[in-house]
Amino acid sequence: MTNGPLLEDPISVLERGGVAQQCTADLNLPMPAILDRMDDAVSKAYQGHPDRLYLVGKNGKISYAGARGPFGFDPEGWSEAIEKEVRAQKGKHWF
Amino acid sequence: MRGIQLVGLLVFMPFLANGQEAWDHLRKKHDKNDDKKITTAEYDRGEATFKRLDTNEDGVITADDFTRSGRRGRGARPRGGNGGAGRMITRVADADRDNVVSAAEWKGFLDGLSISDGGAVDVEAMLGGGNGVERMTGMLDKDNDGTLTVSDLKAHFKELDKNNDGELKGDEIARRRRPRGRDGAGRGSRDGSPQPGRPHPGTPQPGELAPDFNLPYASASKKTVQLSSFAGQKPVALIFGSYT
Repeated sequence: MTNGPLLEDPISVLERGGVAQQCTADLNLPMPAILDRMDDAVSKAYQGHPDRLYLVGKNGKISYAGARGPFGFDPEGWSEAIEKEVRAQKGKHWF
Repeated sequence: MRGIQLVGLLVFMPFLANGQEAWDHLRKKHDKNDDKKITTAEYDRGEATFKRLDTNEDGVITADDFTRSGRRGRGARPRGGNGGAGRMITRVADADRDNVVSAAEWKGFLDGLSISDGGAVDVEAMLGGGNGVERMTGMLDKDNDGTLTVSDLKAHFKELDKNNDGELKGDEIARRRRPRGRDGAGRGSRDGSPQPGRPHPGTPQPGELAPDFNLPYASASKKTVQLSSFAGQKPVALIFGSYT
């Protein structure tokens, strides 16, 4: 909470990256974090703010589009969609 | 272990925090003349952030912007009049999803609440689990004592029930959105957003080509990732999230 970037919008990619790295470390996230541009172009394209889950299928098309969080954040539905997508890959095993 | 069948990417969007610690931090950093307020002249991190921090919209950033009672703008009351509290109450009490909270539904809702010995409503149980406990509590805690009680809920209901008929309907509440169906079409959650067949304009929908992007990793590496590079290779799970 006392860290500046956690309080105020980062004003540079470098600063945003610092906050993202802190988030990844604090939460011990196993997946890579990528940074949206400072104009939030990708977030706007996906209407991602404040949080949202998607699955892009192997065909490059949206396979699952969750509702906007916090109330629409549905990890169970997203997880089911992931399992379905991975099972659909014939001959492969889920982990 | 076999090869990874899925790529997970967290798309990071920072978010603001607030509270006494937040104000203390900002004051030390920006209040150059130590007059316990931060003006636009003193704040050098952009107008957009200044406006976001100035939650009571009085043109300066002060401690009041970080206390619930001090906020009169974005943080304290729901925007657009009844929208916030009305929507919250509709979400949890409108059992038959007809955008009316009838007297019977309201009674059933109150009777079904799990309440601690101290009078606090079990908000997580009320929501059926999942996210939103803090937000719901913050928005409906009418007496600002940090807990949601039956008194808070009844006070909100009374305030919303403009014609005093014991029901909430029409202009008294915001219209509830119905959830989309299952089958990977964005089932949504208990709040039922967005409406079926009418998602938010511009939201990518199942079956549509995913908007492509080429974004850098958050690590110090200069590498970037192109979403379309995974097409034909493996599915990609995207998490849009923020961090305070």
